[in-house]
Amino acid sequence: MSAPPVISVIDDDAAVRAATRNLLIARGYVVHAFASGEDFLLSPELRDISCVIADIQMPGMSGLDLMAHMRGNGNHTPFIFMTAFPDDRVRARALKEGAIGFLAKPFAPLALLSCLDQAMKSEGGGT
Amino acid sequence: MKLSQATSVGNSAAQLLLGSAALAVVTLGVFSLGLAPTALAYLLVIMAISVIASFAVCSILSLFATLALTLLFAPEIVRLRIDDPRQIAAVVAFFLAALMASGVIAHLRNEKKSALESAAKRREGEADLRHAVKQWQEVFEHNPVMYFMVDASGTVLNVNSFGAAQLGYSAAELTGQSVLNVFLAEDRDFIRKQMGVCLESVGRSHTWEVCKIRKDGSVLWVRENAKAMLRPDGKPIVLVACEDVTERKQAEKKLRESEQRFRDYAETASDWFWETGPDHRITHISEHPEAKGMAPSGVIGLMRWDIAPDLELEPEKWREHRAILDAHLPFRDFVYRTKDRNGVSLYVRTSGKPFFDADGKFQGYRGVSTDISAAMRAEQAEQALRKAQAELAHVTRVTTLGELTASIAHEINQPLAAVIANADACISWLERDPPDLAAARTSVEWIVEDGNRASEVIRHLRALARKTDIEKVSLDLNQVIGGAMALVQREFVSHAVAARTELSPALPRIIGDRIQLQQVIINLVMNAIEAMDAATDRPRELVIRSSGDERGVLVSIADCGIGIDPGLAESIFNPFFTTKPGGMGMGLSICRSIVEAHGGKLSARGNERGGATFDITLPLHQEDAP
Repeated sequence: MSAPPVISVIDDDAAVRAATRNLLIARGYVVHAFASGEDFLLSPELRDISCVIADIQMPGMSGLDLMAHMRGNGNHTPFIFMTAFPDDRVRARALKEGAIGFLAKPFAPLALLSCLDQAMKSEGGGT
Repeated sequence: MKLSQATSVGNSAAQLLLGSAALAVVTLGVFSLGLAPTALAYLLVIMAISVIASFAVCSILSLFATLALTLLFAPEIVRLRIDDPRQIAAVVAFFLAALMASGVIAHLRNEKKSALESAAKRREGEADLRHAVKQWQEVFEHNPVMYFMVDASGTVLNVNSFGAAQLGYSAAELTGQSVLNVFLAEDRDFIRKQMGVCLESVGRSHTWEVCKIRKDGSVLWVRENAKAMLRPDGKPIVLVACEDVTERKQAEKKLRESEQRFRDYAETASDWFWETGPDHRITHISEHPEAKGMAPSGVIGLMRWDIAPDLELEPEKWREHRAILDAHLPFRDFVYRTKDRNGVSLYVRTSGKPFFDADGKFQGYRGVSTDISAAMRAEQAEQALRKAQAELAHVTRVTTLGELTASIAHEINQPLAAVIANADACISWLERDPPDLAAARTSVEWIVEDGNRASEVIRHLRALARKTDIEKVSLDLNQVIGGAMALVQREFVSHAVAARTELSPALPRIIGDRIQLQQVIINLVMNAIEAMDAATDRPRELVIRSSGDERGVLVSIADCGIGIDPGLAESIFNPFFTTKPGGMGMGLSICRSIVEAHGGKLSARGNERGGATFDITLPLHQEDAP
């Protein structure tokens, strides 16, 4: 087994951020958690990330803004979105722009893990 | 006539007898003296008799005397001869002298008699004349008409005492003065002119009205009737009769003022005036510039309902109106539609009262109409505005509820997501070999924290529902229900729900927030509508009832939907409880919070024949609430 995949969790809600990290760590992932997209972009781990799990609504840079920014820089790290305001148009836009998953909070842990598996595959089979 | 003739014949007979007796006496006395003295004596007797007797009597007596002379002195007659013609001539002369004397005396007597008669007649005529003059003088003086007799220069020759008294003068004070003194300075030229006209047309009467001024300066109106005539000496005078018409003039002035006043009112009002006859046909309609183009035209002879296009639309209104007209009762503010003279539709408000002749016979109606089209249009616009506002309020309320739901979702979903994630992690930690109990414990601790956070959100929301924008005023809950029903009317239609209200007419007022209570009712009604969506086997009926007593008011909302599981009747009010696929389960929780904030209770029960009933009880006074 290779080195465990590194996942970034970005959510401005501390409880959700901690719980998601807890869930993933318990499953054996390496998780870096950030309170905002800006913090994440400044982190040294940016290049080693296998998947980004981001909230949509955040003060400052939103989840969608972050993905667009990274895609603009040629970074095609898989994205999974979470949101407490599930909106069909936002979902459609996220999926169209290449997001692996779009989860409404509260999400089922299995749904998240399934999205992650899918992301790992695309990451592994991708560039 | 016959009597007087008989008396005359009797008198003549007596005179004849007396004359005959006198002749006889004279014959006895003077016979011996011879023919000549006897004849002279006879002549004297006949002349004496002729003083009292008629000529015919005297003629007979003369005949008697002649015969007597002839018979008494027969010897001379026997001896009468041609050679004694002197005696015959004497007798004939006697006879003729007697006749002539009698005739002269009778003539004298007749003359004297007729002279006496005419003197008597003249005396009688003079008395009559004096009487007539006195009578006319009295008429002139006391007839209640002012008489003036004025000469050509305008000097008063005579005035009756009534006329002088009316002007505050005595007749003597006016006589000899200029008649112009009793006229106002500004009228004197007019009077001079009128006098001139009279003098130019002698015998023709002229009439005019003018003011006169009394001695004390007060003024009276008179109507003067004047006519010039020529006196026997050829000088013209003017006779003037005048009567006081001040009262009539004042009445006329008042009438004119009154008429003018009403004309002014009528012409400045935007209203128009109309009159209808006994058959209710329009006989008169006021015309004035301000009302031009406004009052209907060409309506004379028509009945009001002939010119009303709304007759067929509102037959009941017109039936009632005609019943009032037929009963000859006054009416007020009857509104109908008609067309103006340009054919433009207008609304008219009219009031009228019946009028009757002196015998109390109905003559028709008189009244006023007003064009209230602008007001009606404004009212229609206002109604449209109110409707739009109600719709907007509906939209706003729905939006607010939607926003509230989204906000609640976000606030609750965050801790919920954390709880689930931590629970999953906890399981994972426990499933490890060996289980990471410390991590599991931390996960559980976080779950407790997240749970607390979620309940904090709910507590916060409930507090928000209690205090936000609450404006408690005295409310009629029936009105609140009515408002809520209006807002959800569209939902009833689109969901094919038959909704009705059974509201107590004497519902006590409560103190509360209209909007919040309306939201509660709307929420419960919307729930009921959704609950009935599934009911396809029975009519969808919704009933809202209100009732009240001295303690409080009860509003019940009953549906015939899917009903409530008896075991869940209380838990449906818990936050997040929902039976609806898309529901957040917050509606009933918030409703209960609102009702409790009003000191009331919100409860639910299943109906015996299916469906559910929600009861809102609200106390009359907040302090009565537990």
